[in-house]
Amino acid sequence: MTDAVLESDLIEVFDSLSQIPLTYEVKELALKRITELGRQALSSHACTLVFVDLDNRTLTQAACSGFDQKFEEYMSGKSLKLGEPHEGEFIDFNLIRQGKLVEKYDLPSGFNGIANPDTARRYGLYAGLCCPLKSDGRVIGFFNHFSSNPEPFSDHERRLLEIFARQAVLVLDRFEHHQARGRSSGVFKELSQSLLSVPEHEFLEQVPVKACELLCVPVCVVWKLDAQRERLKIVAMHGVDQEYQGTAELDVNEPSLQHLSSRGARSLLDVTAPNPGHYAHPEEAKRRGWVSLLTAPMFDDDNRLIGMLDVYTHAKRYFKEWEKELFETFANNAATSIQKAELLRRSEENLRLGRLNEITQEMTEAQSVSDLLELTLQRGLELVGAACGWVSRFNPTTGELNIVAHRGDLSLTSPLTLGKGITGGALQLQVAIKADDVRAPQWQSVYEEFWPDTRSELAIPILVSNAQIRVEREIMSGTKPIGVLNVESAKPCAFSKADEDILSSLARQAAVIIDKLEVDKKFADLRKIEREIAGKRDWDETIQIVLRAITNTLGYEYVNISLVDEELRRIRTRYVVGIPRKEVEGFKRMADHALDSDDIQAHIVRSKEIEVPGVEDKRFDSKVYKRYGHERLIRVFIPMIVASDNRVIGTVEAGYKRSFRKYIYERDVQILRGFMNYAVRALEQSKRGLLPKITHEFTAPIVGIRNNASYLRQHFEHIDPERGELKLDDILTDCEILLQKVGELEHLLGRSAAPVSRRDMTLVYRDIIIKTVNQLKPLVAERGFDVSMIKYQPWDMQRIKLYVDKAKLNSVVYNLLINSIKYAEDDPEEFKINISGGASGDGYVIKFQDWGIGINKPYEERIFEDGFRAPEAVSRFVTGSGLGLTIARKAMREMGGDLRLAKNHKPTQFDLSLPKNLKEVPYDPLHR
Amino acid sequence: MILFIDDERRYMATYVEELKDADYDVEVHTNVDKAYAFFQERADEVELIILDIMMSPGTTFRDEDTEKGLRTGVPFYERVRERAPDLPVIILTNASDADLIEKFSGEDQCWYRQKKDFMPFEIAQEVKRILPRS
Repeated sequence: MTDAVLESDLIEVFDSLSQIPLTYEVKELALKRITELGRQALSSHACTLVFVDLDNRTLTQAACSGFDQKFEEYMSGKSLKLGEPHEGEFIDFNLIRQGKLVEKYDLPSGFNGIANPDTARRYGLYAGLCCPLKSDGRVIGFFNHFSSNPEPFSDHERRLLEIFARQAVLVLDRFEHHQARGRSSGVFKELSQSLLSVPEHEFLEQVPVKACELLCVPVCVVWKLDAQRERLKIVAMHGVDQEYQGTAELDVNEPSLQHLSSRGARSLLDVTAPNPGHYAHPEEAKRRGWVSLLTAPMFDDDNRLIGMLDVYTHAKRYFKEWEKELFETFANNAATSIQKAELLRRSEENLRLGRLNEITQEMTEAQSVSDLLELTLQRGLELVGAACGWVSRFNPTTGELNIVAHRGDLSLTSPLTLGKGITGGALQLQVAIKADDVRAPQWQSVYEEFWPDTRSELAIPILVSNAQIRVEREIMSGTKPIGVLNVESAKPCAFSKADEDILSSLARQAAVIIDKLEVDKKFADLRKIEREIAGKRDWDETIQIVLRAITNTLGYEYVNISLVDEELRRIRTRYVVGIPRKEVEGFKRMADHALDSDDIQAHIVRSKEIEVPGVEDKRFDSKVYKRYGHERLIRVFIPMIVASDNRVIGTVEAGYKRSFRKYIYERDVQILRGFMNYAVRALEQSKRGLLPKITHEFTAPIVGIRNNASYLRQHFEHIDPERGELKLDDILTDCEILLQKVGELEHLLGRSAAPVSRRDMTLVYRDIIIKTVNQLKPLVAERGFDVSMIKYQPWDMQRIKLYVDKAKLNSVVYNLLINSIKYAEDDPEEFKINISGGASGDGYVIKFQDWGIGINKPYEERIFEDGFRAPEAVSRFVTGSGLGLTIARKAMREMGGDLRLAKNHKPTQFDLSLPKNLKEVPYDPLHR
Repeated sequence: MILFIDDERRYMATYVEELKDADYDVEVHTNVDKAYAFFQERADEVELIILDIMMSPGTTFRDEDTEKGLRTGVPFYERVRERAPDLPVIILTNASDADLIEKFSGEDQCWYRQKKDFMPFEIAQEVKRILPRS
């Protein structure tokens, strides 16, 4: 059909053909050159090269060499459908599928199975000889030789075409191989450069990208072996959504992964085919549109499996052997690089860990929490190589995070709060938060800008983990939030997982040391306070210091000190902090419970155990709980125990709002308990401090008696009788005072006389009132008052006749009268005492009125408490045990009567009531 | 003149009587404010002070740390010393606290005497020793 080409020319053509892989870099040009050489060898009217995809029944015209440019342009790059003769397509699928040499004539006349008749007519294509291009026995395309005349093709032409086509396939394969090798050297070079320049996680992310680039595939997944669990986990991927990484995990022992036991890449043409032995998750692959798979295991230097590389295509692809080899090489290279990356990371991490150790040492030398937080920031930035950052301190009362140190220009627009933004979120969730790009949509509603250039941010919570907490009576484990360390960078993805880990470690160290510093500070402050308490002799003053310590030093927002009233068998709130001042008195009235009740405080007194009751605890007084919003609080209840006799004198209840604090920490409980033990000792001592006062009160009359006796002895012979009488009166008065003091001492030592000791028929006016007034005359005179200003109405009182413990009643009257004299106004003109009495109901009431300094309202009830002395009283008379009225009221109640303050000022009036028939009256402490 | 300051008039009476019997001119004050005012005005005439410790602080010593009056004599003494560094002072008290004894033992021209250890006539003798009559 065509002119024979000289052998020498043919040799030159085939030489040129074999040079194509080395001389061409662009595939289209290489293909074009193949057709040119084919046309030259076959003296063709036109030569074309087409690729076929039998799976998808498509044909792509890859290159053409013809008689004019228009034809070449027309024929290049076109895709056609392969069809059956009846489907109206021009290229016969069945003909192509057979993969045999096709020889057709009279192409313009009608359907011929290899060319569009119109095209054939237009471009003078009369006959066509089409030779299949086969790779690994599979038809990948055709090389077509077209003639413009009707002469039949010769055998020479057929053989020559077949030889040329086989050679073209080899050339194409070599071209692709060469191209891939070229790419691979670039890929490997880039990978090794990345290894040294980027963090491990970034390096890993580049591995699948490069694999896709190398093999021209859309998807690559890098699996890493968890040797302990014998499972493969995805560590990087390209062309797959993130969801896949979270869910996919492979068991290395499953049948589809048997190939991992030996080196070498393996391909699967169709992973969606239902063949469970070949692929683990065909349904998953189908869903993602994956079809062909090329997979290669990765081994370490000791030939141990470390992972696996998979690449997928979206269409069937027959991976060539050299592609498998190349992929295997890539997998080996990647394995080595991954190992190196790990080693590098480990050596870098080792360096950083070494540095972290040094920093920890440095931290332990910090003198204050602020110094330590500053150091944490400084060293944190150093560890991750960042220039900008800050450290904030959590305020558990307000929920705010206050920035205590920063680097870089920080522009604060709003306060940081728990749960808000990346910083607040990290502390609330108690996890590190790493934002690789704060401008990414996922951070838009979260990120709060503090530094305009920020692209990536890392927020590390500073937490004491495993802090002991108290829940009810149990000790459990919880966390204690301290603050947040933030580092920022103007570069996206500036911080790695390793950075997160090292800063988390730094933050943990900081938290532990801060906690210790704070505890040390609390202890040191409490020691000072304890010294302050030690110098106090006054109960009230001591308790005020205790309250200040619990709130200011120990940081509790709410404190309630309740004291046991042994006489009335009740526990009552006596001091409360954390509720509005105007509500304090109302609170005290409500927080008053019998010791044998189910109330929480009564329970603490009985159990003597520390508790942090839950919100739903049924022992809370529901009225108090609701009225004062106690559901908002978390509180610890501590019994106040006197160590010497294990007696509970009350409870301390301390707490804070639950809003930002979840727990009561055991260490704080123990600090408070230790402090309260000290405080209880001090309070008891302040009570016992009454002893020195009483000692003084004994000393004074004894010295008085001794001095008067001495004076009488010195001047016995020529003393004026009147003066001598005064001296003797003084001695008698001092003796009476001493007897009173003996009563106080007995009371203090808890050795009170029997409730009804000795009873005699007593005329109250004669035997008690007149006698006591006479006894007190020297005291009246001492103050410069006129004794006649003590007035009484004997007519009524004369009738009061009782079978009573005379000494006890005398001591009551003595106490009332001595107070009226001691606390009278200084002006003698104002001195006046009225004593009146008479029948009242079933008994008698004797009223004692004076016009002295009076008793201020707030102290009306307290004057009957052990050791209490109103400030006005103290300012007048320094000494005094404050026991007189306590003993007097107790004595009256023991006799079945009572003593109460009827009026507090001008006149100050005490009513002393007595039943008419004082027989064996059982003493009832609840009777008031 | 001897300035005698003690808020318990009845208990100071025998001391005063012994001193007067010994021919001393004694100015008695049971109120610290009046006592201090007197001293301010007539310090030059005062030859010796007999001072109690536990007294009401009054307005003069209200703002000082008197431990609610249990130590009022201490700041009183300090003020006396500011004005009259060499004036003889006898601290005459029932207080027997070690810190007080230690404090006053180190003072010049000062004698710490507990009432329980001294009869009134002995205090008069002590005064005679300090202020001998020609």
